[in-house]
Amino acid sequence: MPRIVRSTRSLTGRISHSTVAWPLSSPAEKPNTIEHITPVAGCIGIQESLTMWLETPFTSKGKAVNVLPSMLDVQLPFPLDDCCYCFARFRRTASRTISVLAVATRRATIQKSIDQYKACGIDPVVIDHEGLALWRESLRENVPRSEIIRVIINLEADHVSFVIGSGNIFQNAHSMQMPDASGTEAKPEEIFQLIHRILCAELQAGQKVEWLFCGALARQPAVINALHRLLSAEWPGPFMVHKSPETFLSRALSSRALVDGDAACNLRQGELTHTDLRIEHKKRSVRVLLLLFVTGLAICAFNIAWQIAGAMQFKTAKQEISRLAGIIVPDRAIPYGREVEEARKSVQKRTKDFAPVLNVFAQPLSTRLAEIINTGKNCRLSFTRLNISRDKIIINGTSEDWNYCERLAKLLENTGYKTEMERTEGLDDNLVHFTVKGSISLIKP
Amino acid sequence: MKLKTESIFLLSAAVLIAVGIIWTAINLQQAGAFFDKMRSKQDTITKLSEIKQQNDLIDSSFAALAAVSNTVQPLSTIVSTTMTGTVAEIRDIDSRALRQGWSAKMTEVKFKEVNLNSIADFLRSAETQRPPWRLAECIIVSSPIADGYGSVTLTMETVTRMDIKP
Repeated sequence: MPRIVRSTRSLTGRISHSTVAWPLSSPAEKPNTIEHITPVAGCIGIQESLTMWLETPFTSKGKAVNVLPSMLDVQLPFPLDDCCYCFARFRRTASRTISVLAVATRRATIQKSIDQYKACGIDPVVIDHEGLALWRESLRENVPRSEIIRVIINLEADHVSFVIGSGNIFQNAHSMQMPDASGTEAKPEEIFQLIHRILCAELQAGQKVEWLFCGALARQPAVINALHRLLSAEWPGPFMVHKSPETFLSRALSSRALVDGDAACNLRQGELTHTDLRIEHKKRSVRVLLLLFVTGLAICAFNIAWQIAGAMQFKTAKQEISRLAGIIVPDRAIPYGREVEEARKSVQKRTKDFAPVLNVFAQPLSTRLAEIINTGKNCRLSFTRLNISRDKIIINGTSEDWNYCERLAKLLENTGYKTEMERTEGLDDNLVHFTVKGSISLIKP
Repeated sequence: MKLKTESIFLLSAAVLIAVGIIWTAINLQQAGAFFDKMRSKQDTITKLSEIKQQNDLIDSSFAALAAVSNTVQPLSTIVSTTMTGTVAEIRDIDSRALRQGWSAKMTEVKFKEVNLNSIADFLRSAETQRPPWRLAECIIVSSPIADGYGSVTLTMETVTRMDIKP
């Protein structure tokens, strides 16, 4: 029976953990509460999986992603098709290329792990990687202060696993079986011997290391102190025991499942995917499909509405034009597009025909005549002949000065006349003889 | 190969979106031409409305005429009352039917060697009649003998009911 921790994440993002079940001697002893815990995150052991950094030659993440499966396939001792794998972390190297942390395990191993969980009454939705989970939770609970090497040693009764990293970069993870699997009495020297050879390969002699301990045996200070003494003799550095070390891995798994969500490494893939997750994926894809369908419908509906509205607007405008043209020219049909010309022609004809009626209500010509005569008097002009009609005017006369008739011409222009003026110096009377001709349009164009 | 419901749904959605996008693109492309067409129609409506206003003015003028008296004062009477002692040569030069029982009439009035100031009195009186006489044309030739005198030819116009003889 694995250790079970219930974790909840508050709205502020804070994660709280409570222990649900401890290791029990047989599945028959499992507490009822397990049935009600869902979803559950489990993990695959470090010894049953493989982690490696793949160095791609690409600087683009998109391009790198395309070649990763092939690169992983080359590195794996078994066919990629028989594996479950994920690419847990992407980082940029000093040469700007993309480096990817790959996690892989055999499908059969995942199946076996699921079976083992199911035997304990648990059906994990997520099967994470033990090493990654330990590393991530260690960083979360004890934020690294520098780029110093960190080694997390998970001491369990039956095995010891350790994760090596630098700063916040995971480097590698290893796991060894305990010589005495009963775990009743942990011997630090034996544990040291187990891990020493691998640490020698991973760490440089005398390198400063930050030691962090977790796992059930980390509860024993004597073991931890002795182990740290042995380790720091070769790789000096402080040590720390994670709080509640026995539930550290469980907390790590649940934290990753809660915080990282889809980005967490889930090795339960393909046909092994949990039913709930399948249903969730199915629902999500149906939602996406529905959204796409509705979007498509909305775009088409918008276009239909646009066309209908446009056509209606156009039809209304055409109807209005026909209505107005029909009112103005009621006695005959006007060809489409010639409404303005025909209507104008018709109204001009009517205006001309019924001019006497319109003139009754228009400003009398005599008013204009009076203005012209008064202006002539004010400008000291003497009219010899004045001929005015509604659209024309001709004035002959004399002036004492060349410029006196300018005011008369200006008045006529202000009234709307187009004027022409002829002036000649009188030979016998020293007067300026002038003729002003003006014309005005009666019908608006 | 038997297509699953999901695939059919996805295909339909993709087709709908593609059709929608193409349709939108076509509509957007044609929008400029459509707005130009609508602007042209609006211009036509505006112009026709202006023409209609002019047209309505003719109708409203006829309607207003209906309210005025049917009796047109003869010009000879106006001459005799406003220009006592002045002889005027009066002759009808044109008469034509308009509509709704109205006709237009033009009369020429000639004055020889007349005081030009008295012409203003005559015109004022003629134009304040109901219906009024309106000056259509005026020719004034000043007298070479006396200031303020001259020969005047006035073409007066009025509208009248066809059965009324002014």
